[in-house]
Amino acid sequence: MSSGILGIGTSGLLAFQRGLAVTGHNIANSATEGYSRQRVDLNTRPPQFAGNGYIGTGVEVGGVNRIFDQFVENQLRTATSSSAQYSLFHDYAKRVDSLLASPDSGLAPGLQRFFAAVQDVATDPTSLPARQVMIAEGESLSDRFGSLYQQLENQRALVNSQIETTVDEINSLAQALADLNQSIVGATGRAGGVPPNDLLDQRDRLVRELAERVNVTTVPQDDGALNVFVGNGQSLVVGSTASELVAAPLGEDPMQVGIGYAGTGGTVSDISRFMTGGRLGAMLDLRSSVLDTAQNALGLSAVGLAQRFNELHMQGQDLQGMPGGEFFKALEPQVLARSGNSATGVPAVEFADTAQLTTEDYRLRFNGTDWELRRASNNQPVDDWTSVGLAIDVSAIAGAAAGDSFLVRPTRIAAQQFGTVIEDPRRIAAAALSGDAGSVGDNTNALALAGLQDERFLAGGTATLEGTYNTLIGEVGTRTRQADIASQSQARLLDEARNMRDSISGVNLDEEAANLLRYQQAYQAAAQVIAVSSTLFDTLLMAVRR
Amino acid sequence: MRVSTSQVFRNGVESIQRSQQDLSRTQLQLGSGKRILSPSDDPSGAVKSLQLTSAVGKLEQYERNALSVTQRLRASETVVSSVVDGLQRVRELVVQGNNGSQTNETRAMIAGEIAQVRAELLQLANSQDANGEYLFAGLRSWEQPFIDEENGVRYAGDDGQRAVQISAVRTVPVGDSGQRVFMEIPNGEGEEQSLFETYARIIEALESPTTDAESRADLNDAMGQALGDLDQALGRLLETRTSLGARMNTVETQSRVNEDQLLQVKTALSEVQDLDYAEAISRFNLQQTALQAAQQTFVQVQRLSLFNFL
Repeated sequence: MSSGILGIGTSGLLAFQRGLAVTGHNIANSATEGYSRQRVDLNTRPPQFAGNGYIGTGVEVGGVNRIFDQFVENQLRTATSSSAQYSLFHDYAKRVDSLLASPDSGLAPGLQRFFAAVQDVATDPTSLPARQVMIAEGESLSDRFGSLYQQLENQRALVNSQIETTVDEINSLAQALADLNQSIVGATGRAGGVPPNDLLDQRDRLVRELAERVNVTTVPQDDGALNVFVGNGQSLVVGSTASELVAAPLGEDPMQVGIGYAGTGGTVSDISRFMTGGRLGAMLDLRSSVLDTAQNALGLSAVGLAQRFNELHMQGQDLQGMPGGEFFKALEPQVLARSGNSATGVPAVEFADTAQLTTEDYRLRFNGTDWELRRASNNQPVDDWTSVGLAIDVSAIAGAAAGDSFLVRPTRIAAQQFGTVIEDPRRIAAAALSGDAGSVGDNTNALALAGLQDERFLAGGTATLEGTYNTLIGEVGTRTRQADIASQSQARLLDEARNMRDSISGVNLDEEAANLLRYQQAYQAAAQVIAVSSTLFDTLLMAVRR
Repeated sequence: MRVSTSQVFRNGVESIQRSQQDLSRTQLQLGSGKRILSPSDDPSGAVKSLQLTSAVGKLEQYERNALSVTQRLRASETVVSSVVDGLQRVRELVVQGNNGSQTNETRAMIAGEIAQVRAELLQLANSQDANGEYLFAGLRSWEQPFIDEENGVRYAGDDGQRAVQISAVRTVPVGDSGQRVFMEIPNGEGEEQSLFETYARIIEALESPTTDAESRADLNDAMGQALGDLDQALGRLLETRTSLGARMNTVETQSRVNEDQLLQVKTALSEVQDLDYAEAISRFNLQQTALQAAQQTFVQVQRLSLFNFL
């Protein structure tokens, strides 16, 4: 009988000791990121039949569980991914946004000052100082084009290195997950199916860190392992093995870092366009939708101005009666060959009709018999090559094999190339071409040149130079604003998801303090039970001795 | 809902950070005086402000053009007025010279004075502006337009006229062709004769001595014709002066329109991009209060713990 009480007391002592340990563990981890609070499950021990009824035998620890909701965890993971994506996108887009409209670096003030100088020459065509100022303003406009291009290029370099860093991080997280999978499978097996709570928390945290970098999907396995997939089903972690992503130039442009996946057989396939969400998704999206667009649109203004201004300038006559030459440097489209091309030679690409030019890039691909031109953005074929404002001649290419391709970027680097070639102010062709060397006071051509500021000669004759640039500012501004709004709402969603998770799994110190009190008191009481059982035994011994 | 300790902590910190962000944004706005700090704050407003800034630039340029046009037109007008003065003096001298009381000697003196007026005319017709451009050379503005040769004055300019833009849709011709102003003036015989030629003929007629009734009659005829030619020339000069005056009026009117537009555009620009200080300052105060409240509640809530009572 007394041994029963002793047993009950001891079982209580052990159980409350465990309870205090778990409470202490909770308190110790109250600031640990991703920790789920744990609870001791106490069960009554099986009762014993004592003839007249069942007598209780004390308490036992049923298990230590983490308080956790898989649904909430999944929500938190998705919210983490989206929030990281939009907030990073916004951070970078905002820099481009401020850059383009800044009065110090933006293009608009440069254009205005240049055309004001052209107006001054139109008002005073014989004034050499006015002509000198026009050339100087042309050079300072070139500097603006160049510095805007360079700053966008710096952003691109930053984005590319971010992509590389992020891919490295993804790879090491994948490896860590594979290792953790192995530990969890081992631990679960050794414990006969009981999961190691703290390791599961660690793994959830790693998956969340992975989701912060790129969208992932997970599939839990029966043995406790968690398989992780990226892109459109590429396995990143299967059991205890991790695959690697590769960040390397995979297209025609040796500077453009893409995301590759090494499949079976070692062939690396380009999965960049499947990589969405997280920081990686943000960087890839930003590169194509903001940086490419901005550089192409900036280049479009540069090409438009250089082509149209030269065209008019060459129709005029300079101060010495000579026909006008080029004012700005003639620009050329960028053509890049795919590294594996078997063809020799490159297509000759020139600007033909400035009004038809857009910010689109094109891919010229050999299908085995013919060269096809497709839009780079959506892969749509272009039947009439002249409709894109370019003159493309493929006759210089020899030995092409199916799949050979060239990337044609009409305006990408135009802002960098943009520059004035005219040095002698007398060479400015302000007069109409008359052959009369003496008509120095004629400003007919200068008026026409000044009129270019308001002429709609871009985008099929619908946009002015400033209009084209303003459209770019509007586009980037709108995208940045959308990203701002999206990142704020995603941050709120993330807050909610985190609150939800913390509300369920987070440690509350007051609650732990209460538990501490409870287990401590219960422990003291159980110790009292043992003391009582010892007293009972003493009482009996004394009775016998007497 | 159950609340965990880290949640309380994080929510407190986050609401402080949010308040700080809002406050710092308003601070930037107050510092710059601009409502739009970057285009994403208001993309359409930002584009609008760029368009308006560009419009301001163009209007200011038109004002510069107008100023330069006015200066040039005024210079031309001064020249034409001086020529008119000279012409009127010649007219008086012609009437005087035709008077029967004049002797060959006094007529020669009159002719001498007219020769001086002619020399002055040559100088005036070859006037240059501040940039060294000849005012009456047409487009050949670097070459001296009127050259005095043995057989009379030759015009080396052309009949071109330069137009200067004084608004988006309006140009004003500056500089008048010397050909029209001084050279191609119809005379009594239905031919064209330059003012120099008219003066030369008068000088010639006055210098030839009158000895008999016949030469006396020739002088009379010549003087009569000279008066007619002078009136024709005067007509052309006054016409030119009127045209110059009309153009200056046009420029002045347009200038006033430009100034009005400039004011309107600048007002519109200010409405689009400038900060409403009263609103911003009261927002700043509100945000400051919110931040203080967030900080105070954070500290107070963090002090609450059951452990304090254990």
